[in-house]
Amino acid sequence: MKIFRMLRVLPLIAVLPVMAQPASVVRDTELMAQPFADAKPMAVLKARQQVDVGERRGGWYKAKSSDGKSGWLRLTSVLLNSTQGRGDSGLAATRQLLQSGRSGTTGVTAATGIRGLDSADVVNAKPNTEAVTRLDTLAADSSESRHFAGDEHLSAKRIDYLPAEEK
Amino acid sequence: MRAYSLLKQTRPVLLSLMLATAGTAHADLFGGLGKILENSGDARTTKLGNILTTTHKAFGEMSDEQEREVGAQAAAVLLEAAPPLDNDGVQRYVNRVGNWVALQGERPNLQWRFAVLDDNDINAFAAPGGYVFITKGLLMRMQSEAELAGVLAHETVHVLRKHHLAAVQKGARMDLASLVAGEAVRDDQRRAQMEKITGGFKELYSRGLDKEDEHEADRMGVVIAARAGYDPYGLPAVLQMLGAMNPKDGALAFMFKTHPAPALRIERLAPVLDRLEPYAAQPQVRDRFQAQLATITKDAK
Repeated sequence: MKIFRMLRVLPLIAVLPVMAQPASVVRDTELMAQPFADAKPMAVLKARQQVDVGERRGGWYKAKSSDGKSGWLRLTSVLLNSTQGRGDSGLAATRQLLQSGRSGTTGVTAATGIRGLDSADVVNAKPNTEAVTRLDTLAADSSESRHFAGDEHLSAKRIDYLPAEEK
Repeated sequence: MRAYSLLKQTRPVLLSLMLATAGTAHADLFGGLGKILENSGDARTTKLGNILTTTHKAFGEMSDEQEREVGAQAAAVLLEAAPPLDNDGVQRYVNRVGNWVALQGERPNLQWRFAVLDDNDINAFAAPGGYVFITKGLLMRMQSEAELAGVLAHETVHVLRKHHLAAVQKGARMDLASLVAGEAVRDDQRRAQMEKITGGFKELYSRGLDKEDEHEADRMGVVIAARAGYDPYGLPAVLQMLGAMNPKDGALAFMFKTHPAPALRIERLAPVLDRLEPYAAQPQVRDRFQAQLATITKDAK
């Protein structure tokens, strides 16, 4: 019985990366049939309207509006809702637990409870030049990097920088 | 006008001090210059001496080598605050992604050094001369190599545009105006001044760069990622992910204190980002990235 119960959970796990996330539309925008600027508009969504977004393709999220319309929204036209109120990720607490005995800084970290790397860690750090020198051993040179890029068919392009403001 | 001429006068002095600080790379921070000068047979010492006596260039014109020495000192502070992750495979991987990205910028010949910091906090840092660090906490929340490339590209821009150098110069200069009475200072005074410069970097990392520098790094970073052949929307996707986290999460506190809010950063990119749509179908490279993440998860058990 236990095995069957586990099997039922598996498909859910597989779907996790593209699970719908609640988001808010930040400005009036068109919901498109395809993830392209010249695709067919399906509907106009208003600022502050709630949507569920899923998979990202380039600069577009697959989206479903609260009134059931599906399509694609520009990544810059929505903001994923923050998980405010759901509490700490727990990472900071875990870190505190794991690293409470570490050396090299003053006792400030241990004394202030749950928090991550912060100003005090930087301010109290005595420069570790040996650690900087050790970085050389794991560095990549250009020919190695080019092969590495080629392995995944990443090819260099000439592209101008973006202007500070749209003209 | 008077303030300007004062600044002009203090500039060469500041530069000397910056370089003096950088030159202590193998010396105790507080033992400082005195010790180095005692070991006058050391090759480093000769170099340091030359730099100290011959350099009168403006800060922005310092050589790559001088910048490197200053940057190494700044990097040394960061690596003590959060040590590198003990996973050579992941470190090499991040160096390859980072170096490939850095080759697409204006300073491909810097000795770029990338590292994952063994810290669950969510953050990334750069230091002058080509040092770029990303925390394990941020890396583990990413989905693809395109996202990693976007964040690393953002950090390389701080180096390309010398944001930290400009900021430390601006900040430390004000201190020095009152500190430095003349050029001939005693060793103990010089040591105090060097601590002041190291302090300048510490203060800068605590306070963060100018917010406009961050927006510029976003704007240029997305282009550099696209030049490297990646889906350029990796960085904006990371910003969405950060915006979706609980802002009260302790792992975010330091980054949120030192950067504009993710929503504002996306807002600033929005008017111009569509220009990269022709490159939107470039690879995200998820599998190779996820395979590397898996080795970290295994380590954690």
